[in-house]
Amino acid sequence: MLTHITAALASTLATVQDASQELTPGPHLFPDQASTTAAETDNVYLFIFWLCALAFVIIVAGTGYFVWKYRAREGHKAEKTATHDNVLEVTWTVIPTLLFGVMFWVGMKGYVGLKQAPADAYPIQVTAQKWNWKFTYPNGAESPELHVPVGRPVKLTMTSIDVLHSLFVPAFRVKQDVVPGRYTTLWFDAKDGVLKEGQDMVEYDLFCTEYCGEQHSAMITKVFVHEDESFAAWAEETANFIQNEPAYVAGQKQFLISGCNACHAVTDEAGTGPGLLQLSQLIKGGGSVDVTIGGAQQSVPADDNYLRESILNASAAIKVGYTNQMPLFQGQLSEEQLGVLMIYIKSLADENYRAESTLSQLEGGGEVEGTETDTDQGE
Amino acid sequence: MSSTTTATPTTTQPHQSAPEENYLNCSSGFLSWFFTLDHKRIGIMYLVAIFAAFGLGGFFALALRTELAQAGQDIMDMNVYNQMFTLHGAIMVFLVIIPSIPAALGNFVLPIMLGAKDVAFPRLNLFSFHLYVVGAIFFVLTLMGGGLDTGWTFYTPYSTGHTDTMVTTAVLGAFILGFSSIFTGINFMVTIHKMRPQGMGFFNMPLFLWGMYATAVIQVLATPVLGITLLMLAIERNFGLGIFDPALGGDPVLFQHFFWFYSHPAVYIMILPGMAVISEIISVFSRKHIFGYKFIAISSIAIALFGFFVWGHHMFTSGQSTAMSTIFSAITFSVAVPSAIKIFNWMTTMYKGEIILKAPMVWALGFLWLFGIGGLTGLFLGTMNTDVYYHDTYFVVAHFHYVMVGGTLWAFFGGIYYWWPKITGKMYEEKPAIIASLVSLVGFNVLFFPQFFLGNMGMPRRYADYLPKYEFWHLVSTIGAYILLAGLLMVLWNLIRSLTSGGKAPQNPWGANTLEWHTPSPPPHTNFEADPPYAGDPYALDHWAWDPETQSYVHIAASEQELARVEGHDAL
Amino acid sequence: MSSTSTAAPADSAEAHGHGHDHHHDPTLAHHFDSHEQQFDAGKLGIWVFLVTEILFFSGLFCAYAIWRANHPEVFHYAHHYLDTKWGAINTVVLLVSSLTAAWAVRSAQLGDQKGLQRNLLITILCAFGFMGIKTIEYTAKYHHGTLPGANFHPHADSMILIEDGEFVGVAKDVARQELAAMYPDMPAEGELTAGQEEAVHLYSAKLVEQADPVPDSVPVFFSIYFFMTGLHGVHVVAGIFAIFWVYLRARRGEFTKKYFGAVDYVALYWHLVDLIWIYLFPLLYLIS
Repeated sequence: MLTHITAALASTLATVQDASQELTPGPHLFPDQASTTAAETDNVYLFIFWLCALAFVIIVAGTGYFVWKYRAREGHKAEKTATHDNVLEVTWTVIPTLLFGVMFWVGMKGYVGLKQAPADAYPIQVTAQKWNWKFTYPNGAESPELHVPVGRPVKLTMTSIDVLHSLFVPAFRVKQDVVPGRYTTLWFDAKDGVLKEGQDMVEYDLFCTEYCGEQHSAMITKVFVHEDESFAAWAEETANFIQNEPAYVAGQKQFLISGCNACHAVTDEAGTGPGLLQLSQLIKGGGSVDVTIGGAQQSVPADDNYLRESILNASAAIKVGYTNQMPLFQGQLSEEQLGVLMIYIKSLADENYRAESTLSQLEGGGEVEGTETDTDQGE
Repeated sequence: MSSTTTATPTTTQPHQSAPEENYLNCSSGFLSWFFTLDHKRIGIMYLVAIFAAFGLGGFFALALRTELAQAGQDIMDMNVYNQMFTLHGAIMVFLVIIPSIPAALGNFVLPIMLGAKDVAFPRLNLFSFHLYVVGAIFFVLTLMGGGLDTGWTFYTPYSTGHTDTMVTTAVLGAFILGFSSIFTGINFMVTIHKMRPQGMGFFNMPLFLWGMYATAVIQVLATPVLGITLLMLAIERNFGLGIFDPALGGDPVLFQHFFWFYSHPAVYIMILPGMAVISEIISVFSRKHIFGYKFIAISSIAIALFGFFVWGHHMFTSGQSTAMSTIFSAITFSVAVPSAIKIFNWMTTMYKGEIILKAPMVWALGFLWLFGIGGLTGLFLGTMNTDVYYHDTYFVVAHFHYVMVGGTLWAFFGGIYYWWPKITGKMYEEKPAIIASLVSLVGFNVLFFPQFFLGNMGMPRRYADYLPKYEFWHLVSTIGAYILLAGLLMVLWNLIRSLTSGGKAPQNPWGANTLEWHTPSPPPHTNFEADPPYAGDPYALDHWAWDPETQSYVHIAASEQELARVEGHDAL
Repeated sequence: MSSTSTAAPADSAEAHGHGHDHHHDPTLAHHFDSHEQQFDAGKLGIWVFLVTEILFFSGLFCAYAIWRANHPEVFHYAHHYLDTKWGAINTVVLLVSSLTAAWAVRSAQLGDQKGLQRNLLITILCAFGFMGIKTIEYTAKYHHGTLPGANFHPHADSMILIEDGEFVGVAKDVARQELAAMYPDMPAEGELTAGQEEAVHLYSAKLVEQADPVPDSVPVFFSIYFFMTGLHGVHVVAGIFAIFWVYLRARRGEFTKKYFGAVDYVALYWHLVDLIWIYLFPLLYLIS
């Protein structure tokens, strides 16, 4: 009997919630509920929304009614009513307090659920910097976008290398500040239902939502929710892209993973950092670059040494006209990652670097620098 | 004002000294103003300065909205945008909203409402004003010297080591403005404690003074913590203090705790004076005694007190522990209750009243609507899991503009219109004033309501650019900004015109009973020509009757009141 | 009619078109009804101001508490750099000055003009003494290189040695003791030749290397130390100006048995400055 009643209540509640979601203007604008906890957040929203709507109608309609009914006009005078009424005061104190108590309670429960990641969650490391995200997977793969498997909990362990950032995925209804010097965590479970018939991947927006400087509003990436096989394949491919891809293609990927694109265009366009096409042309043509070393201006040859040092420790020699804003990559990049980056940058102006050979093929087979490449290449 | 008899027998008019010497014309010249000790002149100087700062902060807002009308960088690049939103916030918070009602209206009205000749410490009052000017100069220097791009919240480590902008100058400016605020608070607290007239116990004071008192308590207790926080920030930035820097073992989140410990109570510094003004206006323009006086008075103190314990609700996603977040959320709801109590008491005041829709009342009704929305949307933010979604999105931006602009600014304009005849001795034109208020109301809602939708759609705040799907509501919002601009310009025009060609203001155009209406408009230098009358019940509006001939309210002698009482109205 | 009335409203008799005849006591401001109201208002005012000062410092005490709770080893190590002797002397100096400040108020209450001036002067002298000792301490820190935050570059000679968590001593002193034990012609006390100085210097560096590693974040201790004592010092200097101003007014005979508010308020401020030091001293110097 009791189970019947509770089941009936639950289904009524669900119907009411659905109906109210249809009727309420706000929720139409919410993104899809893509995580297992999203519905709870939305339901709390709806509960608060309807209470507020009721309160607002009481206040505005009530006030409006009084303004009309008691408006100053011929023959109408104010009536002396009581100037206080304790019963009334207690009533309109107690009722809101009780309602707020419920609000607090459901909010707290939801929040606690958001904070406690399930024990078997798939772990992903997140590194935030001005102005990009880097996601590192258990198999060592790295990507500038977040890829996750559908239907299982994922736990992000996050830190920043510079200032405060905040990771926000509206579709999952989750958000957590990313703090330099410590780790914060966030978990979600992209629920099974998000993938439709025949779809093996769906994408959502991921925003930085703690102001972090000039390009804060560009620190946007995507979350890709994969069906299981698709995710496994992606992870495998991404972990080994340097081994498998042509060096300059791998370099372009690494360029995005390391966040170089946040400050450097691959054209002539100057941003926070110089556009790299010009450097590439100088390297190809054997030119030189004007830099500031230890406060004094100098001209240095644009060669592999300069390129390598500029990536690993840019502050040692900053190009004239720019400020020292590039993070230290010494110790952050493996030799392979550095190698493909250098090839990519050189490939911007020099076609010879757009060979189909992978990095190891280039290094094992011939010279990394120089204009000669393997004969069997395509474009 | 004529002293001939009018339609009502045995009315008394206050004696008008001739020539009409008042605080405005008793001395002239820049020095007599800039070094005055007269609280009324100081109030006016604050009013002018605050309007100027409002214009500057508003200019930045308009620039922002114009840029945001469409996606892409249209009229400014990202760096300029970041500076604009920072300066808009910093100027509006520190130079406009926090001082607004206490400095411009409180300074003028508070001593007169107490039947006093001045505040307790007139020289300290002048010093407060001078500090305001110096603080403002620091902000101008910030603007001219390279700007500021940290957000008005100055979060570390961005502000301590990742920007070349004029952080130290701005922070020192805010520090100095903090002292201006503290000294005003000390002055008001002591004046209310020690200079109330005979017979005016705390529970006989007008509610405006309760609001000023509660605000003063917050100013005194919270602002010093901001002061030390800003000092720590400046020293960290310039000398590597190490408290907020993770590289030295410090904690950037610690800054947020220190900062919000002040800045949350600060928002009650902003709203309590507004609520105090509304209490006066609603009673007077409903021709009814305020309902629930004690509850409204105590609720101001409750808000001030509880407001000190909720700062962590700005930090639910900061990495603070779940336990702390829980405590902060629970206490946050406790602050909502006294605010609700006020609204219900105001509405009940209007019940069976005689509602006079003049400009002050139109602003006050607008306040009820806008603060209603602002306060209610705060519930979504105090609730922990919905806040996780809404924090740092446009929903928050809409919420705080509804309470700070729709609340405080609306009450500020209501108060300006209410006390304008007393301050200037001139009447403004009623119809254009009401139209200006309504145009502003429409503009404000078109500007900010869509921002709730943007928040629902997940749009983060402090974004110089946005994804195309957000464009529609941004365009609507910008249109609203221009409508609001039109409304506010109409307000300014209406007020300035009254100075040049407004009618002469009677002593009591509104029929209020607080003491400032028992002295001429504008008041004499010492506030009262003779000893001020016995204060009595500030909401005994039936001591005044409307005289159509002079278009003003006139004081009914005691015998008249007795007559009215015997004729069958309820007891006074 | 002037609206720029000053503290002595002697000109205000004609300034108020009251139509009354007021006996304008020059020591009663025109907006107060009585001396009692004026004194009470001032008293409440200064107390509220002192509350703001306490809250101002509380931010720093809070930062101290959090830091110490999270990094106790830093505090245990770094506080040895402070000279407890000077700290203790300063505490006594301030206590004495508080006594004379209170005495000054008593003198004013009794109308004892000479006593009032004398006590104010002694208070100021004590304040100067305090600042003098602070100067000695700060310059010593400068010479030892133990400056706050990013400027923390301690000289090997001055570094504190810890072995197995136990405090051993200042490197230079320990070096000298040990060298004196090893080499009979090296005096344990008194003057040293240039060569011997050099030896001590080198040996200190060796001892520093051998001792327990210095805890991370030691610079932050000095940041906190300099910030808290520096801010306190600023308040001492402000106090000197304020007390001196009151002293000048006392010399001009402005205070009477009925009117001495300024003396009382400034003395109250001075008591708070003293009290803050009473807290700072153990928290910074007496950590064990």
